[in-house]
Parts: sequence; C-alpha cells; structure tokens
Amino acid sequence: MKLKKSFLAIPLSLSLLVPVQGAFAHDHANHTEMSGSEAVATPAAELRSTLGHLLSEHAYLAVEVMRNGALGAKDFEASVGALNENTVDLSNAITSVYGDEAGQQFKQMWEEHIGFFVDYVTATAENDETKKAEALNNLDTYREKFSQFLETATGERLEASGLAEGLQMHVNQLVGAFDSYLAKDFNKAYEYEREAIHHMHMVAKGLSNAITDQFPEKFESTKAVTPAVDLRATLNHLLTEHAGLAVVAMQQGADGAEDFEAAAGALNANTKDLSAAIASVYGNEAGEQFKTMWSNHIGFFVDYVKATGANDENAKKEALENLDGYRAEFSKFLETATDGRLKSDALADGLQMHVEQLIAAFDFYVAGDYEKAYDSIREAYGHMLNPAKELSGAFIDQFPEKFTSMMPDEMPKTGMGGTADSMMGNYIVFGLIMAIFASMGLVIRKKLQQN
Amino acid sequence: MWRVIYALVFLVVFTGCQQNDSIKKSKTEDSTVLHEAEKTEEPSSSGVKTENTHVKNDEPIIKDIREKIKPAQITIPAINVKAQIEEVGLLDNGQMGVPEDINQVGWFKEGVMPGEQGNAVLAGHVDSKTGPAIFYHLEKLAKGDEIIVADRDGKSLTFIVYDKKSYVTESAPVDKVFGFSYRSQLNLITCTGSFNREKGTHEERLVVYTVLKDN
Repeated sequence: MKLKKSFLAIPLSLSLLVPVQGAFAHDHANHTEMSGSEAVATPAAELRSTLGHLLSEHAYLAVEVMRNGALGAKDFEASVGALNENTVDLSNAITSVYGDEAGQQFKQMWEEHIGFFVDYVTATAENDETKKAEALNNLDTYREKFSQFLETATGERLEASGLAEGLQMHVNQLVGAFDSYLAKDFNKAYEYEREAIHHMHMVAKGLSNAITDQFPEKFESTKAVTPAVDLRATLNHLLTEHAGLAVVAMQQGADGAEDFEAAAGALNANTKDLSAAIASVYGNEAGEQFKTMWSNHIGFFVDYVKATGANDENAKKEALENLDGYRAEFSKFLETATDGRLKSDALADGLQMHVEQLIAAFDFYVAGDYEKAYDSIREAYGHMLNPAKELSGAFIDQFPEKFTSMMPDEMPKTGMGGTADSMMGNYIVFGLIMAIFASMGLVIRKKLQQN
Repeated sequence: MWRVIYALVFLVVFTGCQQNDSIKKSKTEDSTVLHEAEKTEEPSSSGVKTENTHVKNDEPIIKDIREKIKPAQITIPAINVKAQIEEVGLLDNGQMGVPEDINQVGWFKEGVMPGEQGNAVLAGHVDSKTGPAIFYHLEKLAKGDEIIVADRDGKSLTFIVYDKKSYVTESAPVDKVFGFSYRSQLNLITCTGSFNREKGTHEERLVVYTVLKDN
C-alpha cells in the first residue's frame, strides 16, 4: 500500500498543474494528497452537492407551499410552481445516474407524494376529517413506494430500506410543520423547517454514498463521504439555508406576518450554526468576528425591508450602501483568514450577486410578481453553492491535517495462529519432517513387533 | 397586514389550491363548503383562543436522532462472549490497531461510535500464540443474533447480525467495513482461514455485519 501511494504521487502532482478529471481515478483517492479545492470537487462530491442542493430545496419549497397554504398567501401558486420546477431538476439528476426509465419513475413517485401532501393541506382547510385521514394514510404508506424505487435503483442495496425510512421521515416532518403552523406554534414550525432541510442533506449523504458505491466507475472511485466533502456539504447546507430563510424573513417582515419573529429567529439560529462551522476551522475568536459581520449584513437587509414598508427611498439607498460596505469588509476578512487563498475581489463579486438576488426576490414579491420572485429565490438558493465550494476548498487547503481521512488501508491483525492450521513456510517443512519421523517410527515399531 | 383574518386566509388559500392544476388533488370541494368553513372559523379571527388554533403541543419535533455510546463492554449471548472494550487507533502502516489484551475487544476510535450513523468497528483476536482468544467463536454467529454494547454508565445498544463474510485479507472491502452508511451499523472483525507463518497473520478476515435494532 505504501508503494502504491508513492507511485500515485506522480500523476497527482501533475494534476495540480493541469486539473484533469481523470486524476481522481485511483484506489485511494481519500488518502493521497489532493489540494483542498480538488478534494471538494471530486465527481462523488459533486453528486452529493447536487443531491443535497435539490433535496434540501425541495424541503424548503415544500414548507413554503405549506406556509402559504396555512397563511393564505398570494404567492401560493408561484410557490407550487417553484416546487414543481425543483421536481423536474431532481428527476433529471436521478435520470443522469439511473437512466430515463428510473428518472420517469422517480418523477412520478415524487409528484405523487407532493400530491398527497397537498391533499392533506386541502382536506384540513375543508375540515374534512375523512379526506384528511385518507391523505395521511397515503402519506404514511409511502414508505413502500420509496422502498421499492430505491431497492430497484440501488440494485437491492441494504441502504435502500434505511433511505426509504429517511424519506418517510421527511414526509412526517412536513406534516408536523404544517400542523404547527395551523396551531400557530410558529417557533416549532420553523424548527421543523430547519430540521426538514437538515434531514434532506442527510438523505443526500446516504443516497450519494449508495450511488457512488454502486457505480464506482462513473465516479472515478471517489467517495461521497470524506472529511473534505463533509465540510463542503455543511457549508452547502448552511449557506443555502441562509439564503432561503433570509427570503422568508424579508417577506414575512414586509407583510407584518404573525410568524415574522419566528422567521427571524430561524435565520439567527442559522447564523449561529454557520459561525460555529467557521469557529471549528478558525477558532472561537474568528467565529465571533464572523458572526458579528454576518449578523450586520442581515441587519442591513432588515433595514431595506423596513424602508420599503415605509416607502422611504433614502433609507433604502442607505441600506444598499451599507450592504456595499459589508461586502468589502467581509471579503477582506475572508482573504485574510484564508491567507490569500480566497481573493477579496472575486468574493465581493459573488456577494454582490447574493445581495442582488435577495433584493430582487424581495422587490418582485412586494410588486406582486410572484413567479419572478420565486425564480430569484431559487437562484439565490443555488448561488450559495458557489461560496460553499470555494470556502471549503480554501479551508481544507489551509488546514489539510484537520481533514485527513482516518480510514484504515488494511484490516487489523486479529490473530496469532495458536489455533489455526499452518500452510506455508518453515512450519510446513517442520511438519513434514515430523511426519517422516512418525512414519519411520511406525516402521521401526512394526519391525520390532515382527521380530 | 392582509392576512390578519384567519378565516379569509382559508378561503384564499384553498381557492388558489383549487385553481392550480399542476398539482394532484381531488376535486370535491365547492364554494359553499368553503364559505361555511369561513363562517365556522370566524371566532378565531377575533382573538378568541380555540382548541385548534392556539394550543401548542410540547411534543418534540420528529427528528432523526441517533443515540450513540462510547463502547466499554460487549456481550454476545449466542457465543457466550462478555468482554471489556479498549480503544484502538490507526497504525503507521495503515492497519487498524488491535487490542493489547487477547481477551478484550478493540473499538476503532477514529471511526464512528456505536449507534451513530455509519459503520462502527470492533475487532477481537481469534487466537493467541497458544490457544483461543475472545472472538474464537465469532464465525458461529448467524443472522438474527444479538450483540449488546454498553458504555461505562451501563447505557446499552443492541445490534442484530444481518450478514457474515470472510475475505482474503488483502482484498477485504475496507470501504464497506469502515466507510459511511445511512443506517447505524456495527461490524465485528476477527481473523479466519489458515495462518501464514511467513507473514505472521491469517490469510483471511471474518466480518460480522450488524445493524442497530429498531426500538
């Protein structure tokens, strides 16, 4: 194994100069020295990232639909439209792995579970207990469908049953979120929303792990679950969630909705988690600094929302200027933290897009152009995958020792041979000699007997 | 501000819902039903608390919680094993370490803890230089047998055997044994096959695969 590693070091060092996809194709992708940006961009990492993006976005949009349903929002239809677009994207991702037929099957199954959920929302509105029970029953037995699909798709891998249970839990979480909304227990509703998003990242982790295990050749034998890919996935999760929750908080703020405080609370909880992720790499002090800056930029968005509500163009302008200032400061912070691995100019451009997407989502929403609002929301959600990838790559590059895989190359040596049969080496020769002596002994004994 | 009235809310939503044909739903509702619903919901809009609208339940949210323990003791009733667990790490040569005491079992501390999502790994010797060791009878385990792992405080988790396989040592599926899994699994390793005196190790490894028992 040692030999193999040093042998592989040659093509890998070349790949640092010329990033070739094929450079990942070897047995021990996780043990060799890839750069941080390579380690987070393996084919398996990309798969996990895509599935995490689309599955968590599904959960996010499904909760949006549910919230709009429970609160009777005008953007209900637009949110359903966005959820359906997500289903198309998700089905395409499944198709790319399992082919057209499976992709179609998946789409059908996925649309069906959304349909049952909408049935539940509708039946609740109509106070139709029979229909409600029927919808719940349909949702509850959905595990079997998920199971069947996943078992066929994964070639009857054992993970299928666990993943199907995971998807069933997703359904149950959405029902829980909806019921909490109806009960006006908004804190719990947002707790559910965050958990539903988190849960889908777990499903994505399991699913991408099963897929890369099933088709190692399609993923150049890279792994979906390594310390490096885990970091990227964590940042994917928290940064996309930030964008999603920010949009909700802005909208609910503009409407003066009852759940605004709970929405803002969820966004703050996300900031806390994000700061903790930064602190895990850069220490508590940097984590605190990050938290302050991050909270400030959320504050500027809130200012923008308030100014919009008050029709105060000057205050709106001021909020946007403050966001500009934040971009510069925050980009510098990251450039310094990563020792120049991230360039503040490029970061500032990326942040500018984030700001523009959120402002657009909000402005369209206020203007009543809900379809465009949801286009911007989906864009804002997906955009966050870019900083997540860049940040995780730079972090790992800077602290490779924190992200080394500790998986063994070899099985343990759990025996000393005291009870086993020998089969090679000196002991065979020794055994043979003993056998010869024994047979000689027999001959001698026979001779003695004969005499 | 337009959604203060709870009843109105219902009307708007579900009309919206009805008009949307891009999602699957039944078509039984009619507008009179909806108007009645509006009337019955009226009281809640005036701030009067009703059973359905303002009651909070204290139940925790549905969550995928995996209880994990730092293993200190293992019991395998089917083969009469009861042993202490020591921690083992990764050796310089890339091998998983083994317990110092042949009558103890080693938990691979660089991996996940039993109960956590993924594959936790325990290894025990099949024999010493002179006779049987703690996992001598591991190969007798069959599907359905139970493995009970407990921490120092006595908190325990039960795992169920779902598979058992022997591999030529060099080609054992290390990823499958040590890598990620969606389920909470626990894999037990020992040696099997003939002993290669030149290499000083057995030719094969036995892996007993177990999964956390449903509560």
